[in-house]
Amino acid sequence: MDRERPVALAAVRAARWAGRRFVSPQSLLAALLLVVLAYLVVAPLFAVVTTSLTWQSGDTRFAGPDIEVGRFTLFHWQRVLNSELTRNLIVLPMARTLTVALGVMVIVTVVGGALAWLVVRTDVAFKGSIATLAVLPYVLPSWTIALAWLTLFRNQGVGAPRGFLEYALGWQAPEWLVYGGVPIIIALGIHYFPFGYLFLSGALKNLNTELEESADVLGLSSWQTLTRITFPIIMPAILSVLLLAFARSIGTFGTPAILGLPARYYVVATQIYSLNLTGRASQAYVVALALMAIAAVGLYINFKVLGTRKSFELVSGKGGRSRIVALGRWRVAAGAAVLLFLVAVALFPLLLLVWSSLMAHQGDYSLGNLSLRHWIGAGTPGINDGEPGVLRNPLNLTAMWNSIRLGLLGGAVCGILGLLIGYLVARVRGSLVVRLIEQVSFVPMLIPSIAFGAIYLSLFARGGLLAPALYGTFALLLLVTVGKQLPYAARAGISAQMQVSKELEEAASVLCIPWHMRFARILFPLTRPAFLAGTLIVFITTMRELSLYIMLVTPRIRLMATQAFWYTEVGFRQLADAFTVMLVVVILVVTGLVNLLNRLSGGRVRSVS
Amino acid sequence: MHRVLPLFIAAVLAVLLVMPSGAQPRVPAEVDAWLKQANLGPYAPSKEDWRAVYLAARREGKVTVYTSSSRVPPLKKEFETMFPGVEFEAFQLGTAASIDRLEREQRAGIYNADVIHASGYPAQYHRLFRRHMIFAFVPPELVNVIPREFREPLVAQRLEARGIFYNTKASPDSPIKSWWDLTRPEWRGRLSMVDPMVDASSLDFITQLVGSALPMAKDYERVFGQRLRLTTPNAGYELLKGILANRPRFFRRHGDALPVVGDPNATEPRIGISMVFSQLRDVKDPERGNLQAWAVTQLTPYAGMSYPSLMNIANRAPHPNAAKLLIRYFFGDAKGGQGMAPFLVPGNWPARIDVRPSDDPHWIPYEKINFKIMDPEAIWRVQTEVQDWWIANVR
Repeated sequence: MDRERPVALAAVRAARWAGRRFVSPQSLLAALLLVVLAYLVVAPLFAVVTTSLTWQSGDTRFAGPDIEVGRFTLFHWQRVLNSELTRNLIVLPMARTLTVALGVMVIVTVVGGALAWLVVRTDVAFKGSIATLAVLPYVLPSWTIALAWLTLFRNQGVGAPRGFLEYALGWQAPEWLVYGGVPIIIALGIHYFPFGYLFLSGALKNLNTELEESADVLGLSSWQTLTRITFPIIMPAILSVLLLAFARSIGTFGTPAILGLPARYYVVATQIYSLNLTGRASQAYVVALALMAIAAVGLYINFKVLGTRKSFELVSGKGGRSRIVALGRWRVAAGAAVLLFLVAVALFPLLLLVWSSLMAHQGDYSLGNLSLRHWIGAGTPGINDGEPGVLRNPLNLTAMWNSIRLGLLGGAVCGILGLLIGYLVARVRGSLVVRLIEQVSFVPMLIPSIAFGAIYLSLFARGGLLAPALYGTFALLLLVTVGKQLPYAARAGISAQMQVSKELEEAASVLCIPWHMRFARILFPLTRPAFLAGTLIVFITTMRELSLYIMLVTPRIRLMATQAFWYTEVGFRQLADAFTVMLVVVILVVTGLVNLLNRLSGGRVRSVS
Repeated sequence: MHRVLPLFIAAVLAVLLVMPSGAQPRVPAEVDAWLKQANLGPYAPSKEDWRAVYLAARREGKVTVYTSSSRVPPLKKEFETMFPGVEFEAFQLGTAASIDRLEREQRAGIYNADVIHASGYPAQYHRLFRRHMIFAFVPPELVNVIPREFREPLVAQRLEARGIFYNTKASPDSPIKSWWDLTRPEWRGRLSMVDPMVDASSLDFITQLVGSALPMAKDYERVFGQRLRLTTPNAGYELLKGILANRPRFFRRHGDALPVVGDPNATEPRIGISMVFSQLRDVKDPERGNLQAWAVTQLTPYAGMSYPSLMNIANRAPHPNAAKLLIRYFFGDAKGGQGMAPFLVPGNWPARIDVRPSDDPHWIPYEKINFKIMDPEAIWRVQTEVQDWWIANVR
């Protein structure tokens, strides 16, 4: 040990010297991020590509027993892209997926943007309630919204049990409103508009209103100000929102399965899922890669737009306060209307869930049927196989702890990586390496969760030169979480760092403040809201994610999502609903605590300028 | 006749040609060494000293099972009471993920699972058994009460079944007599089906329909009094085409389809296809919404497909003695207790013939339903073709 120390010290000194001489902190950072991304993203992507190009163990069914597993073949590509399957396997689902994605993007941007504007830039009434409720739909598992939709709209006319509207009004909704593309778009739009709200309100908060004021002085109308000043400035945030809405809606399986399958409305996510489950992983990967190619075009457009615009730096060293639009007599009316909308889309599904968890007998909505049995009952033999209420099962508490741990740790790691990526992208725009980092960080979004989990199982199962054997460990769950959720934190990081003016860091640089201090004292505090948003988004997603972990969990590291899966599979409907409510409550409480801690530790960063 | 006979002969020859001989391909030396050490496969003793097995299992400390069934994890308490010192570790993964995970682990040289308890006979036989990843084990004292097809080549705990359910509120008796009735126009918009694109067992189910092309063609002639004119490769596909023409509604899980089929307020008859017979225990339960549905038990040419649900020991199981204990526990006692208890429900039939039937009023004796038992070899052989056809034709 002692003999090694001087050598190590010398090495460190040499590295520092070399670092000062030749290597800027940015390039060191870029190198570091490249390694991380290669590990978390490129390796799995490589596995996807090779799997799609080789024979797999189940493929003897296609090509006879003589094939050699692992041998190169174009068979899977040919089947997907050029055979009688092509139309239904990829063309039609792709068209529908893009339609859905487009619809969701519109809803998320418009609804999210309108809410953000009202809350941040106007004096609308009920601001606090609106701000809270606007995040709720994202906290609900997306299938609860789909199920709530069916509870409202299904009817005898489409061959389903009576829904609420038929029950109350005798009205039978037409089929296209019950099943298919329209309800999928609406359900996903409701689920994801909080994204738009969070990102855009963040951008609007950071917006220095001096620019708008100058426009005023120059005599532009408010509409002109909005379209010529405000929109262009928050464009990176809008693009981030569009990208996220796109990526989320093409990757979601639950909602299209519930609302789409009954009308044979298949989307790419359903195809990938089903091919994976029926021993056709290679074909699933071809479909996934095709989807990635299309998404890459979207990313390219995004980059083009961002790349040609130069000035988004809004958090500058100078002052500036948000200007508040007075709504006058519309103040209360607008607030009430927005509140009503949010109650309908956010609170209603949740209340439906709570109500259902309180029903002793399924489907009986009378008051006499209410009971706490599925929450705190000790378990009656003969009812639900004697399963106790969700709060009486000690396993549920273990699962809760594990999920929270995983979500917060994964969220924090993702948040930090996201900020670093954002920093590089914003500071060294145009560099090839940085562009690569930005685009690679986006890739995991497009690899379906179930495939991602399976790939990690294979990569880290045995351990090897670069990958330690992490099988059955919490570390592996953490790794797969970071790998899969990184894109979301990266988007948050990029759009936040884009808004921070270079001058702040340059000023510090002039004062010879070292890079890590600049980051810790200036950049991090300024972008802390984005860090927090990224962390919390990853946390919330992780709490509900199932397919990513199904191949990796062990009974020792049980998660809330696996418990929920179990309740649903057994058909304990009320227990499953009660557990989902519990999940939502946990998410809300933890999110609230994190926000509180942030505030207590001086999280109001706006005063920095 | 002149058209059917050559086809028939060809089919018989094809079946004879590819029929599994029951034996695995030659076992590699290191696997053989393990089998010898674990007293499994050809080295399984003709009489087990269960006391010694338990003591060895206690030294091993636990047993790990991958299972498709949600009914397994709750057995932990009873098992650990019966066998103190042997921890019961159940991974409920579903059939597809159980098979997939075991295969991936074995390929990577990870030996984590002791027992795989799941259906998916065709996949387990070809992907696991033929590659020496699982081995059959039957407690020797039970050999006489378990028919051979449930012991070889793989061991089954019970039979499960899939078939057709109808709404008993709208039509107290089965509204259909033949599979071909489902292609009649009056069923348009009233069929629900577990989606074979999403659910692997439902894919097996429709594959079996295609595999039964000859009886299907005959049944068509009986029902419609005329010869079937083929527009697809065979009568099985023709049936699927007719069903698809009636625009069935698809559901991801049988649990999602049952409330639609058994809607207690339904005014029109409804049919569910590829429903799971063990769902019968949920019917008419007020706790579960008082659903009004029942299974079609008599149908031409057959009412449904029964299939074995398997339990076998993994290659290089880290706890081989505990695995043996678990298999014995899953077979239960003659009263249907222990590990068999949660599976002694209507719609499941234990592999042990000495187990008394359940006293559940919904219990249907196996013989009362004209089932066709799954042919894993045929399904494995034609499944990709059927799936391709289905993908290309579903609208």
